[in-house]
Amino acid sequence: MVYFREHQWLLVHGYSHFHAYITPQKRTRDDVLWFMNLRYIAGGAIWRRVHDWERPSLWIEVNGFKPHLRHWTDLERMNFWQLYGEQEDTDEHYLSWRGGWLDVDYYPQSGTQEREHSMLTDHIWRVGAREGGFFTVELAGFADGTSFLSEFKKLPVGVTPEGNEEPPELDSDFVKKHAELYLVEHVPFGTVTVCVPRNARDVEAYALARARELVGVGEPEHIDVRDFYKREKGSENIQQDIYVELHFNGYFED
Amino acid sequence: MSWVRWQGVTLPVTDDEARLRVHVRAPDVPCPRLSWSLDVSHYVRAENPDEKKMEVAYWVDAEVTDLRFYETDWRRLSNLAIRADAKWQEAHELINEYGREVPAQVNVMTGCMKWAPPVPSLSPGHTRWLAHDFILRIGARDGLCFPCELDAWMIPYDQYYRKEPERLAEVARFAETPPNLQIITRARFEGGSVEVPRCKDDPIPWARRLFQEATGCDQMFQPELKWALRSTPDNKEIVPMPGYRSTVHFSTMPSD
Repeated sequence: MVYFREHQWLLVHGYSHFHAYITPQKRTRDDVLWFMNLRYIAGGAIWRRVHDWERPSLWIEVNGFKPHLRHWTDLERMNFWQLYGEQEDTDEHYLSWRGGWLDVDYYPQSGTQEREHSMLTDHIWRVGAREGGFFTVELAGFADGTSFLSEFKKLPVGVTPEGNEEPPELDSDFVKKHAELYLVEHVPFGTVTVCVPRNARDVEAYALARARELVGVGEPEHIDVRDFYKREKGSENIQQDIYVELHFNGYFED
Repeated sequence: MSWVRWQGVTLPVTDDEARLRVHVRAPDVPCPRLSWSLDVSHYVRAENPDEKKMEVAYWVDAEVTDLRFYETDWRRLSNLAIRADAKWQEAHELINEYGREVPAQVNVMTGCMKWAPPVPSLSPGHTRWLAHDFILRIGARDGLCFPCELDAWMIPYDQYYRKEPERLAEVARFAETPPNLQIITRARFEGGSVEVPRCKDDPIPWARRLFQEATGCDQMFQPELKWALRSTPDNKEIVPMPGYRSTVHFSTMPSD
């Protein structure tokens, strides 16, 4: 469920998933590019006579996050549930931030391409649990994380029996109240795209081996092989990769 | 037996039966796994003066696209009643595993042959209609069959979809006029399909187990296996993928 502006939102399954992207240059697990994509359309009875593709929609992407993982199931340990104050906003923190960047596209008008694009400057998110191939994700985005932090710091601190001060926890109700965007969703580990050199003997086997090595995947439910250069230009060359999309936990074609 | 009243005109009764079918989605999908549909083809025959023989003269094809019935025993369709007002619609919104909205609607095609005796409510050619307001009542089970009644408030397809949402006052209205489609018929549970995740072995035994678990139905005859499809890398051809995901179709009746 997502809270953003005035609509009731319906999660668009299939499109909404974790995605890993592996190019031939990727050597270690830390090099893999990770994305989490979520898409919503306006719901509620008032929209029943408007085609789903013409309703207001909300597209959310967290990209470039760096989970510490040996296996895709380790996504369940991701926790980026902390904001830094201005005085802490140093290069060191910036460089050590592994929570990625949040892009939000909001299409407010039905039947138009009018778009509000926002890179909400501060966001926090975490994975609460895993059930099979699905992860429970909690995410909050703030237009101004500094003012949120100052509100947070006004909260009374706790005191332990030993008399030590204990900072308050960043609890979900408080975050939900102050965030521009707040969501809790079950998000599947969905796809791994592997760029395969054109001269690979068996592109599917190559892609699977790379995905196994870097993301720890098992057998995919579906494999799409896309040779865009052959499709569009008819004159591929050795430097143009072939894209192999491996699907897990169901299958979805965008 | 099929009885249809369309736009206030009662059409001749036919021997047609409605079909109840179910699609069971794979266990790994994020949405409800069951999708039940009900459709009736009411085909009225008359003598074609050109051919000098009995042929279909006019017809009403009606389908309730998704009953939102999620019980794991198909026998519990007995005495099911759906009053599809705005509250019901809102409680049953559904996006399927491929990211498409699946509305619970009544979808109707009507048609009349040029040579057919004129019927006031049917114009020559095809017309398509949609309704979100409907009432469906399913009666007590008799073997694989259920008596059922459908009342629906149909809107011409070309007037149905709009760009702007309805106002709350519009949404609140329900059944303020007599329905323009009424059907009384007998529906037979004919069978369905089940999507099977990738497995190394023959998917049909697993399909049987998944279908039985999801619907409580043990009568699975005439299995038909269809492998998932994909495009070739150059996008020129669609080809099956043996050994990957599949869909298995079953009939509840043995072949003749």
